[in-house]
Amino acid sequence: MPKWRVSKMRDSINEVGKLLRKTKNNSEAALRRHALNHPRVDRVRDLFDDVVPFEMEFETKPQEHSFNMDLYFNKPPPLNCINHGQYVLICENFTVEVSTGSHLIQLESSYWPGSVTVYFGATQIDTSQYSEYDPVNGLVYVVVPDGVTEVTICYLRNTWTFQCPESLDPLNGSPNSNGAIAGTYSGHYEDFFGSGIPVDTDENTQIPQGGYYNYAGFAQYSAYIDDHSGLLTWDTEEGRIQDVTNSISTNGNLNFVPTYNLAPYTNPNYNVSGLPIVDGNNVRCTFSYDLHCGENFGQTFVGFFGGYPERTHAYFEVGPIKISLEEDHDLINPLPPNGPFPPRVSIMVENSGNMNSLGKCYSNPALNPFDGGCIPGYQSIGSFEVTTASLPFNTPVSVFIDINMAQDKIEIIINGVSYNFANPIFRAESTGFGNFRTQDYLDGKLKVSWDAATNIVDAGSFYLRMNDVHLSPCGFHPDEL
Amino acid sequence: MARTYPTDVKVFLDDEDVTKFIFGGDTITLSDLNNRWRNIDISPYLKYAGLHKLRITAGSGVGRVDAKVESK
Repeated sequence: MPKWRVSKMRDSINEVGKLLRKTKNNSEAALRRHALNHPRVDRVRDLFDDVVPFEMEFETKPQEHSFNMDLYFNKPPPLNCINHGQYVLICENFTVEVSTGSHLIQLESSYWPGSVTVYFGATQIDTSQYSEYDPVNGLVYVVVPDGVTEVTICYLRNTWTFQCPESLDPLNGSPNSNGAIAGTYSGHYEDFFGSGIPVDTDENTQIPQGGYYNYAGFAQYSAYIDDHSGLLTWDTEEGRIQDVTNSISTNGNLNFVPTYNLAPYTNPNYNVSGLPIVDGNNVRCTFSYDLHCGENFGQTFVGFFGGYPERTHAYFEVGPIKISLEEDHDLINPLPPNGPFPPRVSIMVENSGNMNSLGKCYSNPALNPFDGGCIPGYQSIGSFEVTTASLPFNTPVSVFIDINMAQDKIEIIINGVSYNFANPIFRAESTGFGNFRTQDYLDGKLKVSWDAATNIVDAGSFYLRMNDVHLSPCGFHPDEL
Repeated sequence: MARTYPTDVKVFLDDEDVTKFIFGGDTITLSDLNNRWRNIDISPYLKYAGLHKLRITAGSGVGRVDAKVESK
C-alpha cells in the first residue's frame, strides 16, 4: 500500500481526537453539575457476626464536607421464616373434592386464635363463612359455596408459648412469666346477674375492682376505683356516687394470690385453654374468676361488704400485651408464601407511661382521706416524658390515653410537635386520642403535660399503639427499601 | 429459638474504632429500644477524600445492619 494513503487514514489533523476530547469535557462538566446538586448516598445492608464483620465502602470527594451516617441494627432474620422466629405464618391449600357445604378442615398445626384468614381462590372471604373451630387442634370450619374448588387457609402458628398474666395491675400493666407486659387492662366487668351496677343481687353489695368497669348494655354506669382514695365510684345519670365506706385499695392494684379462688385463663366466651387471643390490634388474655368479697389479697384489701364474703363473677380482659418490636415484625402483616393477599394481623402496644404516679392533686380534701389535699410530691400541674420504641418511618401511630381526669388543659408533644386539647375529660377505657404518622423515626420522646389546678386527677396511664404496620417477616420495613 | 441482638458491637471507620466517640461506650448494647441512629455526623472521622471503609463487628451472635452514608 502506498505511504500517502496510510497517512490519510491516521487522521493526521486529529479531528477525531478533538471531538472525543470535547465530548469528554462536556460529560465531566455535566457530571460535576449533577454531583453538586444532589447529595450522594451509599447504602449497604447485610448480616454480620463474630467471624464475618459487616463491611461497606463509600467514597468522599474533595468538594464534600459533611457526611452523615444512619445505622439500623436488627436481630438475625428468621431461617426461611420457619421455626426460627416466634411466629410462623402458614398457608395451606385444600381442594374441595367431595362436595360444597360445611367442611371441618384439619390444619397441620394449632394456630393463634384470631389469626386465621380463608381464601377461595385469591379472594379473602368474610369471617361469617368460616370459624376458628378448635385452635388448639388446628381445626377450621369453612362453609364452601358452589363452584369453589380451592380453599386456602392462612394462619399463625404459635411456636411461642405466651403465658397470660397471673396478676392484674390496672395502671401499670401486668408482667407475665415471659416478661412481656400487659398494658392497662380494659377492665370489663361482666355482670352475670344483669343488675347494671356491680352488685351481688343476693346481698346487694358492691363488688370492688381495680381500674374501671364497663357493662355491656349499661354504659351509663361506669364504676371504677379511685386508686388513691380507694373509693368505689361510679357515675350514674344522677351524678357521681362514691361509696365512702367501702375503701378497698391502697395502691390501685388488684392482686391475685394463690389463696384467691382464681380460675385463670378461662374465657367463658371462647377460650378455655389459656391461649392468648389475637384480636385485631391486640393480644388479649382473658379469664374469669370468682370474687370473694371480704378477703385480703396480699397487700390489696378487698373490702368488707356488710361482713359477708359474698361472691359474684367478674370477667377481666387483659391487654393489650406488649410484645417486643421484633416479634411484631414477624407477626404484623406477614406475607404469605403464596398469593398476593397478606392477611393483616397488626399488633402492638407500648405501655409507656403512667400518669398516675407522676402527678396528681385532689382539690377536695373529702375525696382524699390520706392527707386531705395534695399528696406530697404530687402536683396538679405536671408533665412526664417517656421514651418510646423506635418506629419506622411513616408508621401510623395512634395515641390512646387511658385516663380518668378532668383537666383544664392537656398537651401532648410527640417529637417536638405539640397537640393541645382543651378541657379534655376522659373516662373509662382506652379513648382514642389522636392519630399521627411518624415523619421520621420516632426514636424518642413523647411528652405529656397537664394543667389541672382545680380538678381531680384520678388516674391515668398512657400508651402508644401502632396500627396496620406493614412489615415483612424476613426482611425490613418495605418503606425502608 | 429466640432471636437476639449480637453483643459487643463495635463500629470502625477506616480501621479506627469510633464506637466510643459516636456511641459513648466501648461497645454498643443493642436492644429494641436502642437499635437505630440517624444523622450521625462522621465528618470528623474522615480524614481524607477518597475511598473509606465502614466496618461493624460483633463479639458474639448474629445481627443485621442497614448502613447508610450520605454526603452533602
